[in-house]
Amino acid sequence: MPSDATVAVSQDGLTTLLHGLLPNGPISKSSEVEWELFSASYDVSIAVSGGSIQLNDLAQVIRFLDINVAGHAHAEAACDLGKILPHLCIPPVQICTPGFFGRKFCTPQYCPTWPSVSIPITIPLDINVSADFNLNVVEDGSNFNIVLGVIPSSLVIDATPMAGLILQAVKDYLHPIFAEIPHIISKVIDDLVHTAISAFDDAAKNLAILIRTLLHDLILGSDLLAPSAGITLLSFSKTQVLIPSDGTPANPDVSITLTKLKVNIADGELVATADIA
Amino acid sequence: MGLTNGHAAFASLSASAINRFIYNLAKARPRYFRFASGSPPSYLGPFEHVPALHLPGASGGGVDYILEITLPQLDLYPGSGSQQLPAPLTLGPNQFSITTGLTICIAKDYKIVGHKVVPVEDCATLNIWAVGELSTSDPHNVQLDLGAHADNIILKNVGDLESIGENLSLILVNALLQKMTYPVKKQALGALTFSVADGPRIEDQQIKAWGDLS
Repeated sequence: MPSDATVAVSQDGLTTLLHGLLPNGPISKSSEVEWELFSASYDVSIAVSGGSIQLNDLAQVIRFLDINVAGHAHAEAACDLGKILPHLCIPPVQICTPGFFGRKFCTPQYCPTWPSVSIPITIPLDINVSADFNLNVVEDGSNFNIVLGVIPSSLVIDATPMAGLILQAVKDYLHPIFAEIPHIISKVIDDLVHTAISAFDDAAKNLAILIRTLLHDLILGSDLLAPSAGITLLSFSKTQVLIPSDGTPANPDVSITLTKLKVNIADGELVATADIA
Repeated sequence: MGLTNGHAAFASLSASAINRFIYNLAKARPRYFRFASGSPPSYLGPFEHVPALHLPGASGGGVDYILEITLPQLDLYPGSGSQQLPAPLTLGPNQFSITTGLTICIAKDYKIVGHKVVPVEDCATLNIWAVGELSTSDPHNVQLDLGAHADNIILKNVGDLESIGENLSLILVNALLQKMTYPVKKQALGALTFSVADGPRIEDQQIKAWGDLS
């Protein structure tokens, strides 16, 4: 006996529906962090597009494959260079000669005071992400909804390139600052940059992870992939009006009522079946 | 491929769903199933008023009558086996069968009961079987209507009046089926914006349609 009502959507059909669910325009999120020597405020702004659907009959899972995430991550990393750089004088040693009346004459020496800096960092983003969803039917007042629930562990974003980009941005910012110090030679500049970068290395890696986490939360928190509420892929009103009223009391709506909805993935399709009372 | 067969979406309603629709139609719009002239007895409920039968030479306002269409039961190819169609009717691919009945009562006389004038009824019931096909108003249009016509109809137990009875019943049944028109895309139950690309077709005891998502 066939089901009272059957609605099926193909993989291509679901891809069309998916594109209708992607957020229009960019979405963004920001946060802050403080460590012992550094602090940073950072934000991520992305636009989500593309992607296709793969249906897994066996696992009853829908995979959104290769959704393109493009945009930028910005960060302002602040630190007091005085806390990470050694006290430096140029030249390191003053040469003094005794002069008249007990006074000494010394060669000039410059000892810079290291400033606090706020380093702007921009990381371009252009990555593909995939995520898996399971299917549920949720009764919501007058509707049966087919809801997708994201499996959060399935969303994998590779952050390793970001740490290198962060360190490069720090290097590019500090190099000219050090180069402005009077009488400084380039070897010393390089040593100073190297010292600063080494101090910042762990922080850069942590910042990359934080940015990746922010990106992860932003994608998961968007309308597309809301993990708590789930995404409503299809909504079926329990009362289906097949012949609407013509407005006269003698001719009210003629409807059928859905009493139950089931959904599953079979033969590479999403199949919803309903009982009718 | 499965159900969608190369299209983006598929939607079907089974014979039992359509029969539930017919039942709800009869409940919501009983006047489609009951006709009467004059002042019929109250057991009839809501009805569509029709003129009395005027016979030549008869006096008075004509013969009052009641016509009731029994709740039709639909079956879809290849058939559930619950409806036995009398020969020569057969249920073929893309066809539906309908089993219904017609009860005709005429007021042959009147009597006084208490203070009221009450008709004395003479009733007969015809059993009707019909086979039909879907029709759509415009196959190239996004909105397709499901209508049907019964093009082969059998009456029993009416002797020589069989042919006349069949023709009249065909007219009545088709008039009823005309009122059961609904847009095919509603089979997607409002969940999808569905434009029909193939069908509707009757197979596997369902009315099936395939479409694209706009």
